[in-house]
Amino acid sequence: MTALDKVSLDIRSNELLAVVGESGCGKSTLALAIIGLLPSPPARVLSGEIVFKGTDLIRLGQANMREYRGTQIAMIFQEPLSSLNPVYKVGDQIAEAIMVKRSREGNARVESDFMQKTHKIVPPSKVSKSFRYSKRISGELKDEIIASLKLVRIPDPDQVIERYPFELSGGMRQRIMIAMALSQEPALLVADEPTTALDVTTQAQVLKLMKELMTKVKTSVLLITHDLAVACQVADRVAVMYAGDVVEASNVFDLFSKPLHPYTQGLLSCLPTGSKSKVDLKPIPGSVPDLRSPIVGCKYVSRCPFVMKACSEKKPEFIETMENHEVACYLHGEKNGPHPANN
Amino acid sequence: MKSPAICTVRRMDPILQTTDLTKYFPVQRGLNPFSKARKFVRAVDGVSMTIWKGTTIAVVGESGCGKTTLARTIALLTKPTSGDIVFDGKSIINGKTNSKLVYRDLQMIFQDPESSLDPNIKVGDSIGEPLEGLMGWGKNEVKNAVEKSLAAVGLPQDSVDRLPGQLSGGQKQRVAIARAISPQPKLVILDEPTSALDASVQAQILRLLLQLQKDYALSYMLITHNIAVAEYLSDYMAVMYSGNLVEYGLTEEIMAKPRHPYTIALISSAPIANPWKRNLLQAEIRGEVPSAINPPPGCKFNPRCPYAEGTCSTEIPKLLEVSPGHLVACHFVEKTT
Amino acid sequence: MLMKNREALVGTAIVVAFILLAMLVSISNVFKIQMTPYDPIDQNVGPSLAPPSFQHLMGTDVQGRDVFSRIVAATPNDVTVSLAVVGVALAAGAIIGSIAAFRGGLFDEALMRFTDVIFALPALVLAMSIGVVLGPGVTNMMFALMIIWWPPYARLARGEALRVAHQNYIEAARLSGLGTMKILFKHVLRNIVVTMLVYATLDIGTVILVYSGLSYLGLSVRPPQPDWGEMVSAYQDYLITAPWLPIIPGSIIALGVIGFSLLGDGLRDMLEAR
Repeated sequence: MTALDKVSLDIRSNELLAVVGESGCGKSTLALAIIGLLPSPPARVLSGEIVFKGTDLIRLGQANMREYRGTQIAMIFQEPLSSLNPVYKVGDQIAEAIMVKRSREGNARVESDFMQKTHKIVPPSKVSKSFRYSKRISGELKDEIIASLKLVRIPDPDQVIERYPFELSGGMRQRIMIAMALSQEPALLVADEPTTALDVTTQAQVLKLMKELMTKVKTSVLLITHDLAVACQVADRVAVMYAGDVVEASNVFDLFSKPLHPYTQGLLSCLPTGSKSKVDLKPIPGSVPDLRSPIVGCKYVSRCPFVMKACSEKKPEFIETMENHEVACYLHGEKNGPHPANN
Repeated sequence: MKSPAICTVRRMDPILQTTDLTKYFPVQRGLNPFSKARKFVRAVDGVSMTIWKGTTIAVVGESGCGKTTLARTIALLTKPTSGDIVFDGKSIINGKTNSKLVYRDLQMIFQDPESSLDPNIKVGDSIGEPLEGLMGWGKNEVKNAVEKSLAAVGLPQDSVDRLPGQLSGGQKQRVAIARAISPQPKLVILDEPTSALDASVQAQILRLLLQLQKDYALSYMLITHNIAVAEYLSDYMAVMYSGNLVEYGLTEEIMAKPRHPYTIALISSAPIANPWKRNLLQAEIRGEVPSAINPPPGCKFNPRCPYAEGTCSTEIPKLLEVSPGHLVACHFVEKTT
Repeated sequence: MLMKNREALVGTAIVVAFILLAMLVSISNVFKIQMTPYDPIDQNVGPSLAPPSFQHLMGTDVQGRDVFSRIVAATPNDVTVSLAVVGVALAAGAIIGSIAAFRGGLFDEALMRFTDVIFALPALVLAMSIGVVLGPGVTNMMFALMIIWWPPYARLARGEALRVAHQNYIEAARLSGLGTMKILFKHVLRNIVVTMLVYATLDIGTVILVYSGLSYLGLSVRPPQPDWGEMVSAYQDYLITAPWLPIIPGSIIALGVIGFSLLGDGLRDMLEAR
């Protein structure tokens, strides 16, 4: 089963790219592939490259990927209760993250050599200061932990570090995850549905926080979400995924005012944006195709109101048809074939 | 809170009215199963509201506000601690109530389509279950009614022999809807009916619910945390916070001009699918939901309220009209004009 | 049922063979037809302590009885006892556990503490006491085991029933006017039975072992009636001189346990894959 089918995306520095799609579109698979946490077996990367700051991450292998994961590329997940270890206090877990960062700082020289030798296997970091939970946190380390908690605006941080994860609310836990992720000052933060499990008001707080910290820490964020409204609120650019393909990508304003792909148009017109007397919801007919059987041509054929003969023969290429606006559809772009609707 | 919802505007007949409805859950202290509980989780703390016939009311709030407990208490799935529920003119709280008769007119649809259907029972039999249990109909009558329900929710007739495992989430929810409307009820309680569904499926279900409401003259009580869905589907809105009703009125009015400080925070936090209207980044609400066992004295929202002062921490505000049909429970509601 | 698992297939084959054999022997007993080559209690049908040969597939014992005939004739004992004990335990445990889960409160507490008390009773000691009071016998031992075998099933059923109780379809059934008992039988039992069946299949092997143990202690059959456990006990002195005598019945017991265990494993794998 092809979960991702030749997905091409860019994330620019210090921008928030939202990848939007419904369940089964492959957005979580994409996030896991970037951070190298795809469970393989059964998952396998068949082809393609993930180029991060000039290095192809796929060629790296697990040992070298560890140098990136958690430091240059950090990730936060949907359910913070399972991301935090329930048997250790919160303060200890943040301390561990900070210690890892410190130990890597000692290897700065190793890292820069390593960046140039991407195709050779480099032995893992020799300086490994593992954090022992039996030690009490004190002094400088404690100050750093409290500072990181204050950064994510957690009240009474000196009490919170003594708490266990289950004693805190979902919003607090998610903010701690953000604190741990950002303490590494990563270049890229991958956030997989970070607010889906949170209340509306907590979601607003967390998203607002993420945007603020983005500018402070100069991080780029890849936000995976099923909620197009959330993407509209925080994203600089949006990529829409359907059944394993990226079908459209552009900056958020263009996507909203000029949606090119029929799926994006369908998605926008099925959002309830007002009262029933004013809004006519137009649901997309049909359902997502079964990815277990291979599909020839464009995967949206069964539901598209503009389907043409070419659509079922060959999959349209994902190309830039307007400035900074890419789409995979025969309706747009000369490369994909002549059509009266082409610009 | 002692006063019932005083509405100077009487629109049509009420289909359901609660008066000071309360549901407390005892918290067991220690291991002794015989010890009497001293502390209670005040899930629903005196809610008085009216559902008007043929309309949809959205009960909105976040986790812990008590909206699900309210729904389940009204559906008689759990016994209220105190207060009254008058359904279709008759009180349904007293011991004489035959729940089977009530359920002919009151049904419920749940949030999770996966657990709404018994995985071992065929779709047709699930839909027919209320007809057998409540109406005592024979096989042929049930078969006909099931056929009609399936057609009404847009599912093919051959679904009758399928098992839930063969259906998608959206289809399962349609079966749940078919089951709920098969006894032709008057009021249907919808507990987050689309929260577990994708956007495109959600749109299909919302349209279906609207259509069914027209065709069968149904009243809906919609429980949701999704403001956009609440705004779309409902005529009236009731905002709950920590077991209390804090605002009640026409959806249009509340969305345009929310008056209770919590409602203002709630609505401004709901993400709008419009990149030019970035309300989310201006929303400001601090603090956490209060404990349901030890609520703060006075108005439960006062520790987080930007307008709190004086009586807010000593006296619980009553639900009072600020404009015809629009009720708010706030001591200083004039501050939000 | 897709039993693609090779071990499960082997297990099923063994189990089916045992059950069929037990049924054949029982039926032939009813009609007083002798199925085995020799009468199992007849002495001197062959030389004493003869090793396995063509005439005596499993040899003969010290009294010249044909071992193969005895083994076959004893099949219904172990098979019937193990299936009956687990069957009753499963049924009783399922009902007790699910009622406790649904009634809740003090009723639940009382039932579960009662379950704990029964669970604490040691199988062997209880069986021996019953053996002393009622006298030995296959049926008596079966009853003794039935009395104490159900608690784990009650616990398992209660846990599963609690999980099922929170499913929305149970509440929908209430909204359809069904009473607690009706809900239990229509919805709950069917949804907890699969997990319990997996446990039960694995458990049958244990009953075979325990029953064989009781039989070894002489609490089950009265000689000269054959029983596998009893045969192990009677023949154990001949381990050096006529090793086939104790080894064969012991191996047959082991084979029975292995068969049911493989079957149980296969069922569990199939359940977890779903």
